[in-house]
Amino acid sequence: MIACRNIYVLSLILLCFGAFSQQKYTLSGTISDASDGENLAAAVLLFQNSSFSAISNSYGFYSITIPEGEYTVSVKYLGYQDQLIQTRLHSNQVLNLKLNAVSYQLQHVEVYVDRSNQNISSVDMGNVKISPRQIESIPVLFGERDLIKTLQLLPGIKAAAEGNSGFYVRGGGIDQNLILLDEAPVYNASHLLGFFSVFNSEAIRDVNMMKGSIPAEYGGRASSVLDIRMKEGNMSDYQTTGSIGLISSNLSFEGPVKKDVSSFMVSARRTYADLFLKIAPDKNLRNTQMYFYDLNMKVNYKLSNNSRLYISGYLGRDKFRLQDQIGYEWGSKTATARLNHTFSEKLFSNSSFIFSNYFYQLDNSGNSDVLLGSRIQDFNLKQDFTWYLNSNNTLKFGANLIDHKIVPGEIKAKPGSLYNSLAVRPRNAIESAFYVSNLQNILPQLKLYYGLRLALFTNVGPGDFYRFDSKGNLIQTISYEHFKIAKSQGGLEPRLALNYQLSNKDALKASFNHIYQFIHLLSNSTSTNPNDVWLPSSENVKPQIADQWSLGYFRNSKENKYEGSIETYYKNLQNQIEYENGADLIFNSTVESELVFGRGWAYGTEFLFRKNIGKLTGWVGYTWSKTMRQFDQINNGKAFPARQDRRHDFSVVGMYDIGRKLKFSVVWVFNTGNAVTFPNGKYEIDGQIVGYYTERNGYRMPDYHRLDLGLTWIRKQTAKDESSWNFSVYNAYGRENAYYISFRQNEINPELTEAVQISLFKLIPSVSYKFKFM
Amino acid sequence: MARFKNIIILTIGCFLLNSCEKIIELDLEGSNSVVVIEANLTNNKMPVTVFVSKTSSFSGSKAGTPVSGAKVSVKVENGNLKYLTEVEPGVYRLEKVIAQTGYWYVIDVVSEGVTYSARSFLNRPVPIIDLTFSYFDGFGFLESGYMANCFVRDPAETENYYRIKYYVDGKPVSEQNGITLFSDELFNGNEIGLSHQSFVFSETDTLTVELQSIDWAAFNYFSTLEDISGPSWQQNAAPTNPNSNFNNGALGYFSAYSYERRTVVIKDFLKSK
Repeated sequence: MIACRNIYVLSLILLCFGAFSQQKYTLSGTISDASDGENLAAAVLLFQNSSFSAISNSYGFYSITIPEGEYTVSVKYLGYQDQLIQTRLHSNQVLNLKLNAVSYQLQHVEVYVDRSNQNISSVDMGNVKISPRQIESIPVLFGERDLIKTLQLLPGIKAAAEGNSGFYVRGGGIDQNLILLDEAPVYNASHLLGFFSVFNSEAIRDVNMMKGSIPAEYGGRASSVLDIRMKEGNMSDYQTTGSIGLISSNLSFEGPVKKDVSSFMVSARRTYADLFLKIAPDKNLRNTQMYFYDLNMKVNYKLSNNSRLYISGYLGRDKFRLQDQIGYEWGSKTATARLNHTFSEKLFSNSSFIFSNYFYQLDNSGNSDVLLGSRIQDFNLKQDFTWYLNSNNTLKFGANLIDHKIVPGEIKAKPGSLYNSLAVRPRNAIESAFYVSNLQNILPQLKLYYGLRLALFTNVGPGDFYRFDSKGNLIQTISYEHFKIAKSQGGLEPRLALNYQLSNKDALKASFNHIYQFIHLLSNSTSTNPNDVWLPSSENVKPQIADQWSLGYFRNSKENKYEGSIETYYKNLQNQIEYENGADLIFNSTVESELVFGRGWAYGTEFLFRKNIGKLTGWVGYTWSKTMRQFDQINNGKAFPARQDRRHDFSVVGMYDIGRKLKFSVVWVFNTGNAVTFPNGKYEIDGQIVGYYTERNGYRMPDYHRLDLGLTWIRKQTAKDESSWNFSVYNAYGRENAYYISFRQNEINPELTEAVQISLFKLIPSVSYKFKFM
Repeated sequence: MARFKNIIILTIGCFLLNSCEKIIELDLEGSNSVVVIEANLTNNKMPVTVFVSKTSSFSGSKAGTPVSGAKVSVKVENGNLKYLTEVEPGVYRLEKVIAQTGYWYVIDVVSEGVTYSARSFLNRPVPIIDLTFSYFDGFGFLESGYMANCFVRDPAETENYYRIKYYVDGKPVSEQNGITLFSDELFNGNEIGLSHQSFVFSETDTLTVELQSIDWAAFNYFSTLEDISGPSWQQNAAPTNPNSNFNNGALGYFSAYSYERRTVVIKDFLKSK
């Protein structure tokens, strides 16, 4: 509490710094794309011959309060032409800006494209922003453009397994990533056992990955935030875009409902491997269903000059059915209603109502008429304010209330089924948070961000709550009625970030986060699995707590054409969760008694060199890292490397424009092997030869490397129509990378055991066609 | 549960069909060897047999080395000890044991001064009320053939755990593709057909189905054993030694079980329908 009060006093003092009495006015407005009216987030306004600058928020809104006078402002946004504006600021002024995207023909005339040094001047660390437009020529598996797989090519972000859309950030677990789609948490971001992410890039406007400094408005996951925003829809013209690929096709339609007032966007994607199965000669294959689809929708409406309403939704499903026997289905639904309102030119507000649901179910109708499933559902209320106090202080504050309902497992037996119905006690909980933060320019070259978030988690009735003794035996069951509080826990989360700009070309940054995580994923597989179980914190499960310190040096050169950074981090994780060998995770009301708790730590250094403009764009990244875990009950209490631990990661991504019609791209990745558990002895039991294990994750998988090539041929590109072909080859030199390694008895001499390496993707060519017309 | 886990595997299987495999060399250095005990006791006047061995190095040509000279004894809990005799290196046997259901049995193995002890509860046998066959079309890794449905009437008042062993023409079928295990957690008190997709048979087979009624510790052992010994694509990401009911760090298990057997020539079953 004392710490809290000190921070309050400190912030008051700091706020007073800027309060000298010179006449000041506020310039505010929205920055959007001139052609389709989409808001542009993180566009930069630079006030020439001064140190003032402003940046638009995720709704395109900016506000800055500066002394009266005449200013020349340059407005910059990557991939858009700069705009120079003269303004006389003698009263508060609203200035809505529209930027023109750099058309393809102009792209090579570099004079049009200037780059801001935003990466040098902001306090953000370990942040990556990408938009689908930037990455569309990067070659990908099966030609499916996938933002998450592109992010995995950046330092500090590792794929959970080859071709998998699950990811680990700086040594954190897969469940420690907060994945938000228009603010709604997505509990399972993968299709088809992880080979594709649920994010259809045709429907996405931009993606912001936060692995280092995480601002106070975000919380609930220990390691990272992936904030994904859907497209809003073209405000002035109807537009159809689509692509046809080997695995799936998608079609999007957007346009104005009322010109410049309201617009909509609908995008759908479906795989069609199963359609080919229908013509298969084999009867079994014909009767097998296997597909997924996604549907994204968004509408927005300008209620007035000060208010704008957004409603968006996502629906995704995976379906698998083997003849009439067995069906397997999972999917997410999210819905978000948001109201932006500017109370004054200095006070921006966003109110959100968010719904999110994830479920999976399995039906065995063949011979037992039974349906098994699990689900998690959230209702979420959020209120955020941004107060552009003056040119030196931007305050943010708000609150968030989430109602979680988790049904870990239920069985619905139909009449006459061989099985009994069963419902594992649903878990209800309220997660709440309050935060305040300020971004302050202390000196022209020194910026400080400080925030505090109060995160609380409360288990509520109805339901039974259990007490266990130290051996995990149930000693007490307490029943709680509706809304009765069973347990409350949580705490204060300080967030700090600092930028000391050494020159306009380089800066030193540092940050610190303290984050609680209250819901946890229990998983026994290396990659994401649809039937992984989410479990809330409770009396028996403490929240995970992460502390991350990071330090970085950022430098640009050649007028911000090249960006380089070195970041180093140390992360400490408390109350990490594993479970006992043989634990039943799904149909178990007292699963808490089968969990074990430990700690983890991770550290590493990431190098990134990026070129964002010109004929050749791309990046080179290298990470050195180490990730450890320690549990008293595992590995005899000795610390062991986490399964995502690997020492070296190297990636090169290059995109080169050959003339105006062709774009060539290349990706090369190399990493040393992940930690893995292998047996180092063997014995015979029950007539089988079995491995003897002595050390958790004591061995390493072989090194991994892969080259992907892509070629985009632009057939047509005018203001209204576009069409292009994309050809790509995944794993072009056919490297046999180990997906996993297993052991089996030698056929000739069964007493001998041999190691077998299974490789999945060896040289996969693909082709896709993309079009757009108005 | 194993049955439902298989479904997920099936989907992965579809993907892996296009995968390729190769044998690689790994340097898995030797570890200290530990004692492995495999002990079974049944209600059917079968001899009690206990195998005692030690783990061997992974790259070695022998899986385990027999341990001779151990003192192996069996008793009803709180009853009198009976010693087993070593009939060949590492194999200890006691003929004509009359074991009654409804009791705990204890096995002690003393080797190199260390006593390894385990106990297991001998449950009452659960009768096979019917044995039928259905044709499975196969999928992915799973072969096509006749699947055996072993019908039982699960006793409602007790927790029951089952293990099924198959014998074709009197020879045990390898459990490389999984161990057929069931807990009545999801079907307590029901009449149910127990089957496993990994075990399919041909028309001409003479099949013996052995339905074992095992205790929780044995069920727990075999299901954690399956996690590391079953088909590679269903193995756990963090493999570890199965949960043994022996103490003092021995690997292996002691299972006291009662069983019922039924033998059918599949052809004859199909004809009779």
